[in-house]
Amino acid sequence: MLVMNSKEYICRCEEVTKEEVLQAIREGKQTLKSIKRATRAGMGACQGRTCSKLITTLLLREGVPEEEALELDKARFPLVPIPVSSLEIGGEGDV
Amino acid sequence: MSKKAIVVGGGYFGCSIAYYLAKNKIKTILVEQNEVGSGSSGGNFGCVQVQDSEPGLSLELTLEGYQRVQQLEKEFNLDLEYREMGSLLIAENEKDMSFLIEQAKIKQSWGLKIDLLDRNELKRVEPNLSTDSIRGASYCKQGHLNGFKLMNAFIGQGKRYGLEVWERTKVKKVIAAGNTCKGVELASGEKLYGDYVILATGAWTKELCKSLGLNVPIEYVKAEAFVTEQIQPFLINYFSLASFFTEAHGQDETTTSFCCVQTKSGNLLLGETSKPGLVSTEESGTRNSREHCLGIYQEVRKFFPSLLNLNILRSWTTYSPYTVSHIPVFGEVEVQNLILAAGFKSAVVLTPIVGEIVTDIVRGERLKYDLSQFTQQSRLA
Amino acid sequence: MCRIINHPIVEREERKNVTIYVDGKKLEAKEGEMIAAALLANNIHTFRYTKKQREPRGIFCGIGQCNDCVMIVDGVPNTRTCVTPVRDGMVITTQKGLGKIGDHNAL
Repeated sequence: MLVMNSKEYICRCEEVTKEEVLQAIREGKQTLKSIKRATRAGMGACQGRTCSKLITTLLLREGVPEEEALELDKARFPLVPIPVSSLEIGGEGDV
Repeated sequence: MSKKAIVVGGGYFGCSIAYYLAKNKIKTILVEQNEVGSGSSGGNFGCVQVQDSEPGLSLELTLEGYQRVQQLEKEFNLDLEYREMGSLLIAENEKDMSFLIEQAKIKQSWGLKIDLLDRNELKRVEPNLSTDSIRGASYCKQGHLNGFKLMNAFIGQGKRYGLEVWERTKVKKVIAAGNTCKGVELASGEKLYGDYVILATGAWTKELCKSLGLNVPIEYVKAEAFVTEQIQPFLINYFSLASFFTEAHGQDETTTSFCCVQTKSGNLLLGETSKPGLVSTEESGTRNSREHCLGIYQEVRKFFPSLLNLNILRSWTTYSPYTVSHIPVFGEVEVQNLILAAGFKSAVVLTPIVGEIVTDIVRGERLKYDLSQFTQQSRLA
Repeated sequence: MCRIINHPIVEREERKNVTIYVDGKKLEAKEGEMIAAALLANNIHTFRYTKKQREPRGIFCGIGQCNDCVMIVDGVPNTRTCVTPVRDGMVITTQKGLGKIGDHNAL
């Protein structure tokens, strides 16, 4: 059976809708990072791989200056999901 | 004419102070160097901590704050993901256990309900915990919420009362004439003047106060954390180690300390604090270290081996402020019209009460608390 | 069945059959193929239900990026079925909302 749903999802992992993202932008959020903190869009399993471009598009459409709208979220270790067990990396320095 | 206040720092305390000031008709500007919640508050786990508070005024304020935090969802009519959550302080040896017993005794006399648990009782309270290496624990009912939602709520509600929020605005220095604070100078060269300047600047407070000749005893530890994918409820309580108090913040003997919690969305947050000696606020200091990867792995293997196959999604680091005395830097100092609010042991639980007290100071009200013990350690050189 | 048997470019390759168990049902798959491919070949299109709205989800990106196709595989929740190959005797469960560690539902 086809389930009809008029909602447009921006972040599929966290089920964040376009309306929720637009609401955050209206409340003054101007970057991917601040929208993430406000809505959880980009906090899910894929870490924004799917939604970040869509959010950037919405930010630009809503007239947010490019400097803020195009600012990328910081890429952090481990970049792709890895099990806790693979943290068993000894040695010195950073990851 | 209404009074004007400048709040520096968009973390838990900056946001709550700004909200309570604006609500009480103080014309308030909040200045944040990055974005609201981008510093150590954003790296925080959202625990509404009660049992780790220092007996005395800190604990008194914590208990007041705890009552208020539980009312915030109603006050704002917003979902902050608040829920009751126990806190477990784990002792792995006799030294830590006697510390917990002694602390429990003192805090019970303050009316705090703290239970000491043996391994069997612990297993009942936290069924997925592997208790092999554990000597015992102290347990206290407290709370948990979504820290970002809390900060956003303070800001959003504050704006209704006319609060102005200037993000991406760095404060270069605090402007003072003689021993009176006049305002702040921004990195852009622009100057903001106000009747009061409130520094809620965490690990940066010491540096900002230097140009005033004010010596503020705030240090910081680097905390590193990982967030895992979401799973069904697995961890019931906030889990942390007593060694954090018996060792990590000691003056000479230092160690690392592990903690973890599961959020309402199902993610597990795994964290560890550094030895103070390893800290640097340079850009390179924001990366996670191999040392902590290994440390967190070993702690998970020891306490929650069934989590070893769980995927990690992201890591972060943060600079968590503290004072060696465990007593915060909070209140009016020797520089007039300057209020400091930093170095608190637990942030979330204190946000409402700290906001209210700062508002009382700015409005010139008689204070219900004598904050001198929180300010006497910050002296003019 | 929706499996491409004859392809104009890719050479036909014989693969061994393996058995997988999906929500307790015994199904046939081809050795080495991804779980998602095996499910589609068996006419299964719903891999999980979302945690907030409880809506059905299946293949979306198909290249291991989006995490839409995750299921509980051999007791490991949130396993991306589009990049995880089948194994003989593999136990696969539709994930309803959040998965549970060690959730086996073999037969």
